[in-house]
Amino acid sequence: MSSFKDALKSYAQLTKTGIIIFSVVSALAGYAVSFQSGQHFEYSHPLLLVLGLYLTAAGGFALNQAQEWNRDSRMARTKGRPIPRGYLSSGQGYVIGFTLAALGLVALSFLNSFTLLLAFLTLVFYNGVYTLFWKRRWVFGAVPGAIPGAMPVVIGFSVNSSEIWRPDCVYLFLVMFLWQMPHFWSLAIRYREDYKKGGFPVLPVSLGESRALYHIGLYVFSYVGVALAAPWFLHAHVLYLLLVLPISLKVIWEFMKYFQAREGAAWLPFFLWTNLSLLIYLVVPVMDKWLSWVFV
Amino acid sequence: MTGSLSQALLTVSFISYFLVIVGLVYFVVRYSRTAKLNMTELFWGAVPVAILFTVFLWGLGTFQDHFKPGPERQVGVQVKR
Repeated sequence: MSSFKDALKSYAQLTKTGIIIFSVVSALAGYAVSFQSGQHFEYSHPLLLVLGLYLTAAGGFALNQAQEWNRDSRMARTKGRPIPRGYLSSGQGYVIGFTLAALGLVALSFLNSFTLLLAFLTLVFYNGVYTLFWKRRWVFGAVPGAIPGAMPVVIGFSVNSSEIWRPDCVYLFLVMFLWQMPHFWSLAIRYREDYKKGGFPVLPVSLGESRALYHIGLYVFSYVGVALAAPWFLHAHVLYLLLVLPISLKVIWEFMKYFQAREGAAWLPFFLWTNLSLLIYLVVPVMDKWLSWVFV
Repeated sequence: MTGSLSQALLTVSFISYFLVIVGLVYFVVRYSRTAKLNMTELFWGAVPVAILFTVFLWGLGTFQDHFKPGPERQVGVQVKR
């Protein structure tokens, strides 16, 4: 029984279950925003999207750990992952990663070829260009690296519409894109010694904490600003007033506290509020849209 | 969504957005000297600022669209009537 639990735990670690939840939620938000009133609802579409995206993302994360296990083993935060601790070999990691990703792409192929293409390109961009090159060599690699991280909303959106340059899709993409820099760099500040040992030239390691915080600030203002522009790009309603405005103020407030205090107790509230804000920014447009259908 | 609510939302949104831009400008002016940025950092630091201002310009472009009647709207959902 304990070996089964261990296997389950290792699988969750290998495929980064916590982060996948964000990807799936954002893909569903993209799907719901592109769903038009009067359109026939096909039950299989959201199910295939969730399944396909889950498997593709899980495959991508497993491949990422197989690619980086050597560096992960030098970092206290990641040395307990299945490959560095010897539970799996890197070869097994590759096999699991490729299998999951292939199954995910097959599931997405039942939706439409454009969705499949976007998911495939995201995988290539994340595991190929970002993991192998940018992340290892580039101080600001997190910025272009945030593009594949923001793609799940676009993938979800593409299920109902191929017009991914529509303002509502671009809005969701930008929110997801801009959120990642404060999220990743604040984590990198917290675990900078780890990243140093792992040999990743992340912003706080290469340029120092205060300059990293300055860049986080630029992204926090931009992220919150774009989120506040929701009514310009998509259907905003009462929930926008009730949730998006207060949480935006809260995020800026928590950032300023973190910026002034630098480290310690101020980090966690900022980190948690930023994560919560992303969920709200993604879910509120969907809820507002449904409310407008119900009440009009 | 009624016209008055739509206008109220847009007004609140514009005021909030404007305040965020003011906050960003204050933040940049106040802390740029202490951060002592090099050219690479200036380039990458300009990315989020450029996104914020581009969104503002794009928002202005789509602004009028929100006041059109349902079937003519291009942005967001077409409301059933």
